[in-house]
Amino acid sequence: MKPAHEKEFRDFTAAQTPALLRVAYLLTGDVHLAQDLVQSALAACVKKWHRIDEPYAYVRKAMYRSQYNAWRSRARKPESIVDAPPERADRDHADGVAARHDLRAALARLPYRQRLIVVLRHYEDRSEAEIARMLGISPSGVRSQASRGIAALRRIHQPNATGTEVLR
Amino acid sequence: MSDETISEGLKSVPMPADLVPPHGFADSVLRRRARARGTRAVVAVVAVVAVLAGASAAIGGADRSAPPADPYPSSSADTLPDDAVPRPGGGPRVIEAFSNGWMPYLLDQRSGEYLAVPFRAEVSPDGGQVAVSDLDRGLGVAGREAYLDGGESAVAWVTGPEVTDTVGGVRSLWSPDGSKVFGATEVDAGLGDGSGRLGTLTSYDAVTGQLVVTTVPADWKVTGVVWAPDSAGYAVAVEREDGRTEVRHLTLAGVVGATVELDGSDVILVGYSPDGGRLLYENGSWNEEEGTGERQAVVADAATGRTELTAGFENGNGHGASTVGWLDDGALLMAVDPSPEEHGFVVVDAETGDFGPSIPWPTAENVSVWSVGSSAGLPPEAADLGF
Repeated sequence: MKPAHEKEFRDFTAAQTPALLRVAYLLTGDVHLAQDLVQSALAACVKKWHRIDEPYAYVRKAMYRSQYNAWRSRARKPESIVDAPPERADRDHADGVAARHDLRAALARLPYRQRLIVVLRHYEDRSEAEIARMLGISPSGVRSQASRGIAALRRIHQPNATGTEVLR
Repeated sequence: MSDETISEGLKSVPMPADLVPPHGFADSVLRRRARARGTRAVVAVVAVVAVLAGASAAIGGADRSAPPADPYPSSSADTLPDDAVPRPGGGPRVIEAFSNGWMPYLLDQRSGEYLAVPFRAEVSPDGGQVAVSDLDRGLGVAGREAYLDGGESAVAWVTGPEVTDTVGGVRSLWSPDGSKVFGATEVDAGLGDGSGRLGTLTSYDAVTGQLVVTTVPADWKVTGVVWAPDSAGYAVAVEREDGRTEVRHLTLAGVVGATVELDGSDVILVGYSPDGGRLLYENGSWNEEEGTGERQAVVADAATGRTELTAGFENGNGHGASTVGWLDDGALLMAVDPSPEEHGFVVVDAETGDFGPSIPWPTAENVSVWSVGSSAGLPPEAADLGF
């Protein structure tokens, strides 16, 4: 890598990694996995760095595609796209309550693809067309997955009568 | 909870305190890349054979199937929301293809809508085809309507990923006569620091399917490449040792022809007027971080390089501007940022240098324009997309 490009890469990494980590954390639900996801995406861009017109968008796309492909290749276990959220084994455990009192925990309980699409649609504010293009699925598929994901989030993450948000 | 509540909730999700970049994050990324490069060297021979085989097939016009890689849709039926598209109010021209930094869009002349497409596309001069470029695939061509309807499945990839439009300041893929597209390949500059230089230019004849690879002299410090007006070769901007820039003509066979010296420093070559008589470029300096400097568009006689017109960037509040290209022999298109939050374009009179009013881009975000064409034929309800 040419010194000027390396400097540009380092500047970009310093400036943008915190924002990239936030997205990666929403996708993975784990600090170390998030760091690894960002690092992998950046590493995939290093060689062609000087040819990338818009690095922020490119690195994010690399991150999403990497995550999507990883999920698709995992064990071929059928991904249940369900209307009702899966039950949690530790639902009644008091020591898990605090961790479940946030939207991120609810997000983490969504099936992989729904989680990705919800993050793209409602955290990144990307259009259905953009998500469809990025993930290689139809816009109607994006709409359907986003809708189911949001419905599941509503069920998992509901404010109770006192206004305190709890997970169901 | 409404969608908005969830959206706001996601954006304010508290993050763990240890969600920070590890110390030396950039270093570890670069080391990881270096380790991967060492591993890949083992399989390099296999890769070279595969690329050559692909090129042979493309030259023969036989097998142009897309390489399997990341998922891309076969089509993209969604459009920009109507309220995202400012209506300039009608006029003979329309922005046909642009990217908002996240997604490329192409105007569907049949419906008057901008459709999201898989790869950024440049529309041919006759409006019937598109040339696409992708870092992971290379150059491709497709019928315009087929591409709008079928996405990647309509694209014939004519080169490998080593040929793209992002090396050496390539501008405008289509030749002026609409017969060919071109891209560039980078080679190691031989400086030992991993830096590259423009190595070859590859043209693809969309009529015959012929690929022609032209070697660029190794001692040329290339800053930009455009098609020559006669579509028979290239005009290559080369920075000389004295800091001046000259345009050297290069035929497809690699024969060096006429040389024209340009004025000023830090030159960006933009292109020839449609009649081939004038050359448009930028010169001057600009500090991106400080937003200061003086840059201008220059229209020069194509044969002599003599400056005929300079148009300073009247960007209102000192914000950025750049030259997009020729609209016709008498008009230029420039991108302007009237304020940090406003992005748009202006039409500039190529005879007087007078600027027209600023018009917002088709989306609220800043965009890169790939093609401008005629608004003729747009359905009545979309006619006001013209300018």
